[in-house]
Amino acid sequence: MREAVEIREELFQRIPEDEKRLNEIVRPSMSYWQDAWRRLKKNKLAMLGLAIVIFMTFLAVFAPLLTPYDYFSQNLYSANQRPSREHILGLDQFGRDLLTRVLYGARISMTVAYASTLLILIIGVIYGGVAGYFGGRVDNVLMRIADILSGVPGMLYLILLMVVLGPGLVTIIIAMGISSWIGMARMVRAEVMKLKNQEFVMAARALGVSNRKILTKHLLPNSMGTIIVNLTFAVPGAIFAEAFLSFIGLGVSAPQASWGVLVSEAMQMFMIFPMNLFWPALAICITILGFNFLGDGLRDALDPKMRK
Amino acid sequence: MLRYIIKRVLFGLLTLLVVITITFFLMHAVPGGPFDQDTLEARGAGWKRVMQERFGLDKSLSEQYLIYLGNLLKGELGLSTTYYPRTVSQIITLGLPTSAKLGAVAIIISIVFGIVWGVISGLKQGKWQDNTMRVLTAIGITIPGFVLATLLIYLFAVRLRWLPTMGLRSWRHYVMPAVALSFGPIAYLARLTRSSLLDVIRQDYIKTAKAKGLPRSSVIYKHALKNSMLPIVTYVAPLIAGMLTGSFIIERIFAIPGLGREMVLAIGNRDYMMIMGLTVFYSAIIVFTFIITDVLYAVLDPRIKLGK
Repeated sequence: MREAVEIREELFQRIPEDEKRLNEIVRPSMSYWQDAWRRLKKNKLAMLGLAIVIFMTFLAVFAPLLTPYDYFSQNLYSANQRPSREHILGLDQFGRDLLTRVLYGARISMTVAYASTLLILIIGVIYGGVAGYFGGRVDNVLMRIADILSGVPGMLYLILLMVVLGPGLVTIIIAMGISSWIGMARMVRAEVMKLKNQEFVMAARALGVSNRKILTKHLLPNSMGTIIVNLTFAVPGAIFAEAFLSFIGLGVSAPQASWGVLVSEAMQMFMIFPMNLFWPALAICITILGFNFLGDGLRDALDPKMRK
Repeated sequence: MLRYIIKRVLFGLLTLLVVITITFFLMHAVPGGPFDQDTLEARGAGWKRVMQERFGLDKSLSEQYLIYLGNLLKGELGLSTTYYPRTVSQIITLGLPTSAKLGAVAIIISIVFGIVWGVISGLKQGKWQDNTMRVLTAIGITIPGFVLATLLIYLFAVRLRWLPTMGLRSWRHYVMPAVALSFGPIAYLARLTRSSLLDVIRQDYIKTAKAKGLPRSSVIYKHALKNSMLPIVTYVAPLIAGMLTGSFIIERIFAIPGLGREMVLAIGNRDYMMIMGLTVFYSAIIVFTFIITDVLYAVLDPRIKLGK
């Protein structure tokens, strides 16, 4: 027989306050995006890039409010005026305010860049998502087609499309979208293939969630990090391509002017008025640099391997 | 190995066929294109007869397509409207040597400087050589070729009067266009070499080599460098493609009578058959270099299993 233990007050001891705290959750729990943002904030170059991107987008959106002039009225009597208090960057060869032209140029260039990137995103996500998710024969056929198309030189294809579609804002966006979606499609496919065999997708499938919902609610949100990094690098690519097209005479039609158009217009007289070339060229360079810095930073920040 | 090469070549030919088909049908879709009935009427009876004889314009679309393919096999790329009666092939034979010479110089410069620079900054990771390289590559990737070209002209031709700006008659004519063409690729190659080298240095076989007591120099040159060159081989094909499209702009700016300038002129003049012929020609070169790099890569990397 066991002896009954007498439960006395002395057997118990109060846990000191600081020992209690050991079990407390001190750090706030962080979602993937909060964590990524925290890491991005630490990266000075990336923040500079982000600032540049926001600033340029701001200029593009509010261009009409930032300048009292318009971008198309010509005044040949005051052509090629030097910078003055009224016209900070001077006037171009048709007497139009250069600062206004550069601001409105931001509008066109950024519209082309963002819209064509969006188009690349849509085509790439649908194509790559379908190929990766269904796999097997569908994937095989779709990816062989992509392989063949990726052998087609993109720039030439873009030029050809522009020649056929004719110059203009909408045609540039369409041509750039359909000539450069393959990289995005491949990447989305790889991500989806990686994710689709993981447990949470299996669970969703076991619960009877439809294919479309699994794709849109589970697979794509989880590949968002990689997609965003790719998009950030696609934007400067589009700005570059647009400038290239403008330069060979396939850009937007006058009097609209993108940065590329401004550069190629100024090129004809740059021996005499080099500053007319300098400002739009500077705008192109700064914007591309901003997006590249941001993209590099995002790649580091969104990489799950870097998560601590 | 042979099976792999044959497979690769067949795949390349298929890609080329797709390019030709896209080009052909796009050009038939252009209003006022080379095969448009109205254009034929407008250019007079002589042109119409030539087009009917050589391209079967009185026949159905599918027959025209077959005739076009047959012509390509015979090496006939079409007729230039601007230079009539010269054919596109004749213009290519005139322009190609010039473009090829400039391209070769630029490619050699890119490869030598890009790799040397990348190796130095990879070996001196985090030191001043590395930091300088990273700043310069950021700039190199940011500045579009035409901006750099105009900058060079302004500095060395207009201000300092050291170098000539037009044509390609002596070695001094090569300096600026070659630098402008290779600056971007140098930056990209340096980045690629650096990351590849850093990647290889962390591998186990480098540790083994060090552990065996091999001198540092032989670890670097025999083991690290050799293996880090592999990814760089894959950049050669896109590099050549980049040189070709880059030369569109550079040849126009420096008034170099090469193929790129002809392409830009043809686009400006809406010389559709010329655009079409040059697109097919360029694509053939690019597809061919892709095949060669793929085969080269397979030969160099023993880890790649061929033919499965």
